[in-house]
Amino acid sequence: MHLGTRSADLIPSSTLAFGLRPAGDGREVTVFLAVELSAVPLANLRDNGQMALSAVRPTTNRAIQLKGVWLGERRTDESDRAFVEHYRDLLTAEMGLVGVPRSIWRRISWWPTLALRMEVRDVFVQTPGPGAGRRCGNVTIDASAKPIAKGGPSDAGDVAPAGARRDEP
Amino acid sequence: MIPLQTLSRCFEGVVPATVATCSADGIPNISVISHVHQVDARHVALSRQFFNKTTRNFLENPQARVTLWDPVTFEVYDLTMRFVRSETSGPVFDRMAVRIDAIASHTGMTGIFRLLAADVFEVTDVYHVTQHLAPLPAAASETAGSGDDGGADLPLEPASMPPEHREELWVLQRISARMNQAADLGALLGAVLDSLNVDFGFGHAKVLLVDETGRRLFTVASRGYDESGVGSEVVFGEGLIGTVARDRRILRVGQMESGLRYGRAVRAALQSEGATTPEGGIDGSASLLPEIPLPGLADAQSHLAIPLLVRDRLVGVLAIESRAPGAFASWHEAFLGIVADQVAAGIERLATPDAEEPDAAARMAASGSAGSGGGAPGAASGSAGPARGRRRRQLVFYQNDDCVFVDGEYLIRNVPGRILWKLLKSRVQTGRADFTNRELRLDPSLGLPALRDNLESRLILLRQRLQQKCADIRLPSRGRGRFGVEVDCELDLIEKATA
Repeated sequence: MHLGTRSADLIPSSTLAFGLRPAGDGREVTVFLAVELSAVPLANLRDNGQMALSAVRPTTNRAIQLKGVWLGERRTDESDRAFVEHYRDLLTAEMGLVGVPRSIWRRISWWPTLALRMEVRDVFVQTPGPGAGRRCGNVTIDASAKPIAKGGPSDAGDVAPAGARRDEP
Repeated sequence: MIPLQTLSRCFEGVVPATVATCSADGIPNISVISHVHQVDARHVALSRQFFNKTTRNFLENPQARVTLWDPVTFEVYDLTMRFVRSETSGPVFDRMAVRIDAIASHTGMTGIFRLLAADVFEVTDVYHVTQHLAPLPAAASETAGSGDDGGADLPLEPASMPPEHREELWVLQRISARMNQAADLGALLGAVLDSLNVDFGFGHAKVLLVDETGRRLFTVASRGYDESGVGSEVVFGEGLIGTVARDRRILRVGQMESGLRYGRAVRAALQSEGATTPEGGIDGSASLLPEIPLPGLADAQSHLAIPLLVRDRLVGVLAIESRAPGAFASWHEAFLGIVADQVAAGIERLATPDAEEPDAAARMAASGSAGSGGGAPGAASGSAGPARGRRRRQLVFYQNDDCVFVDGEYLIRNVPGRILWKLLKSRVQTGRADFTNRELRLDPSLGLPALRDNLESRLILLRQRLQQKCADIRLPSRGRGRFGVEVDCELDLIEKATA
């Protein structure tokens, strides 16, 4: 899982994220980010709040991308810690299936972590193939919400073929 | 800036890289990318199989960030980059395309899933990220990647270790000398395959040569396989080796399973969607084909296949594989490319009739061509040596497809089959035990082409098949351009029109 942000001068950045937890009314999620890796993304989020989160299942390449805005941070609690620890165990097993040694993967820092609140405004299929780039899920744009940007078709990633059906504006 | 050359194993794709881009109106995008290719000291290229958001973003905002993972240490290298150009032809495109084509071939998507462009970026900075990793325990650092509970092993020795820490030049000198001394093709290929094993630890390797049709390869020599696979065939354009043969370009894959997973994901999506996008990397005019099994080791992760070229003509392919991910570094490509050039030149030299000893036939005539193996002239059923107490073996030649069976089991077919039949008939009927390549070349019944007849390689193939299936018959070399026919059994030779 990777978090994408960008600076004021539109320089993009990518950071390893560590779990995604539904929150609030269903359009909000919490993204966990190791404190050790948070300096650049946090600076970017404080500047403009734009977030993209790519989640890929390594064994199948099934993937989605979430686009949205930062709502701020919140305190982490024991349930977050348990969630992240469980996520780590699942991810370690999954990565083991694609040849990443557990001994290495277990070295990845996962705590202390930041809990970043994200308002999800779009979800896109990112699995390689003709469906990549298509909107998915039940996320709807709240008309009263502050626009992310004018007219920006968000989307889809490395795998979206032109001509595939899209629900872009 | 950290030199890109020092990150060679990070470019192997063992751990998938990601690319972050940003649209002109400020929306970030992040994607996993199938292949990051190092172009030179300051440039990399990203493979583009689809026109996508990433593409749109860097066309309107050229800034991008690629995250590479070191497959051994799991340290991260963040490359700050600026888009320069897209290439749809040329050496960089071709190098990247052969890899995509090979994956497409193995996953049954030849002509469907292909490289659209190599997007070239200038790397302006490289950040080394280690904060995400807990310190490695001292004891564990010596066995990094060994996996404590089922994870895959990675090579402990960094594949990117600089050449001055190795002995490659001496290895090259040894291989060169052995190839130069080789009296025949078998010795030459044996020297190369043995060196790959001994000097590099690459114990699974084979050499395939182009057959008479010019559209297929056949395995002529191999090391490290339960079944030697000698004689197995590969059609041009099929699979890794076939793709290398068709495109005449080197192919190095560091994590085959990852590439296949990616290809299978595309295939599954195609099957479920039924959608095609001719302007994208998916061609709707082609149809999905069955997957092709990997050559050799079923669980190989690393593949290096090098075309053997004489000028622009393909004579064969040197194929090496390993169960370890990322087993082949970029310098292996360069180094073994030199070796492959020498092998190709050696094959050409030894396959040329002029290379045979010119007086071979004369010397044989002087020494008497019959009798070194004994045996009386006989009919199709007869003895080929001292008869008492020997095993009797029945060989059947099927005229319709030039197949030879021994005791009911398939032995060999086509040109080698015809050669074997000619030799055995002569052996049984006249008692001859020594032959020359020249007389085989002059025999129109064998159907050898006038030029580049592959006779040497066919004899190697024949010898190895005999060794596997009928060790009572041998064709030992008697020097360049000469060989014997040794038979330690009673032979029943039967010809049939069809099976």
